[in-house]
Amino acid sequence: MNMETEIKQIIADSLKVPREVITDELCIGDIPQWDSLGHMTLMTALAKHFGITFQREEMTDLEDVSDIVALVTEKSSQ
Amino acid sequence: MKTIEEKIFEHGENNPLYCAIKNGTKCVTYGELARCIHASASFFRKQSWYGKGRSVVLAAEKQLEFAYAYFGAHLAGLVVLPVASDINQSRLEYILDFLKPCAIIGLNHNDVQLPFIALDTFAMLEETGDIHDFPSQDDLADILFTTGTTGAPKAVPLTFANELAAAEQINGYIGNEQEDVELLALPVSHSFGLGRLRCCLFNGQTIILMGSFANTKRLYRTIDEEKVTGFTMVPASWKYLQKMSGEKLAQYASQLKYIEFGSSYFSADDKKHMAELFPNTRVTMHYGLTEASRSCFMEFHQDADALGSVGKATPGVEVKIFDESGNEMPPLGEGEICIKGRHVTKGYLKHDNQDTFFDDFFRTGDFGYKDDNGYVYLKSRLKELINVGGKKVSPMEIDQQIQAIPGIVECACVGVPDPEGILGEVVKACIVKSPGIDVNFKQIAECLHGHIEEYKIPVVWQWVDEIPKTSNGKILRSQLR
Repeated sequence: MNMETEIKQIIADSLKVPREVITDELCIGDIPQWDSLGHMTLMTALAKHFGITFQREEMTDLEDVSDIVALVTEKSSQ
Repeated sequence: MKTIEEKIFEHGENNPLYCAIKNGTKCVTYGELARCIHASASFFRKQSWYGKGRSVVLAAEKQLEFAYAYFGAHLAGLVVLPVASDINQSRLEYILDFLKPCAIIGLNHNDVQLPFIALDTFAMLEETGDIHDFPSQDDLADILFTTGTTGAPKAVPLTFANELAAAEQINGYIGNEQEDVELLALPVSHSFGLGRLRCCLFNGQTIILMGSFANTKRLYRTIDEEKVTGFTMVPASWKYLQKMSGEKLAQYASQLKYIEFGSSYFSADDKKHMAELFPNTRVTMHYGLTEASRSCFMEFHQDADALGSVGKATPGVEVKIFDESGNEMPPLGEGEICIKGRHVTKGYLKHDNQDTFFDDFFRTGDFGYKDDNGYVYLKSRLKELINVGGKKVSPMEIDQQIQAIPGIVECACVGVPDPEGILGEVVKACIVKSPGIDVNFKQIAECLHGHIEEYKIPVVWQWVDEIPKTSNGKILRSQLR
């Protein structure tokens, strides 16, 4: 599984939605499951899975799935 | 006096090109809003099931079509039962069985044998030449259901007069005006969010709908681009914003004219901090309930010496403290907080309302006192509701779901502080299991998925040997926290 697929699978699992719902353009908050509580749970799951931490500025700058994939990929490679 | 619906039509005539509601890139003006409400009312009247005074279930989705359907149903003389779009099956079944509504809008449940109308239907209705009379003040507008702690949820009827009074009292206190632009990220399925929609449209101001607080980037961009001047949140929303973006919201302090907080506990220190971050903003917080919306208000600067209270009675509202026999308590005397005002429900439907009022004061079930200056202090919520990020959770509902799992003898849920410090409270489950049964908390949580909403699933778990109870069998939840 490549990195992008893995991240999207974690997003789907964390939000408890089918994997096909998680498109690049899907924005945080676009589906009922992705509310603030869902988002907190997701960020915690990603941080734990990849052993990374997020800075506030980085979290504020996220808008959609592609932003999350890019940020997690970048931080994991550091 | 004009109903909120009448005021919307008045704004439609006097200010037809002014933006009423904005959702994403779509903006509906007051002229268009009035036309869409009118067309929706005509649509309802043509349905075979239609009858004045009958009720419809409406999924409270934060989209333009919800507003058309909601106010259109009112204009057609229907009573609206607004429900959350993620309502669980058992609660929905209870509501359907209890009130026998004649149609269901925006909520496609396969098991429900009722005429179904998709919300999108209301986006494309043609204008008609029909004439609709505005509803009368004493007609029923909405029926909301309480969370239900000591038994089944109760049906709270609200008349057009109740909702008009609430809107006037709230706008009067907060001071929002026609030129204000408000951002609404709260759900409209709760009385706080739905109340904001009514208040803004009553005023003829612009309200911007946003899915939730989750997308902070979009939230700040919207505040910036739309020149938002009013903002509403629950304490959990503020905690979330702080966690995700620090105190970035305070960058808009000079732009935000008012902020309204509501729905759950917010410490005096947090209130003081908000007042410091927003020195020139009217930062208000209310105390109220579905049956008596926003009965007390406070403003964090003006009431700096009483930040531990829930404020004073909202102008137009009377708050008194009564003992259990209905005798009024003197200042500082503790008792039940009771409310009188034009906004208060007339009593629950299909319910023996003997214990609902002391004379014409509604009994909140909350315990507290009033000081010499009229500030009301809340000591405890007798109803034992759990407040998960502003969403009220009945412990009994979760108890019952857990007790239905094989191997579980008994369960009692309580609210405990969120270990993450975000949601205010989360659900803690104390469970007694059958001896020799191999079941763990993860399995129990998995059993709950799909039966109750995700936020109701316990976060803290504990095995106990027995559930503490009074001599007459009432669970002593306070001992389980």
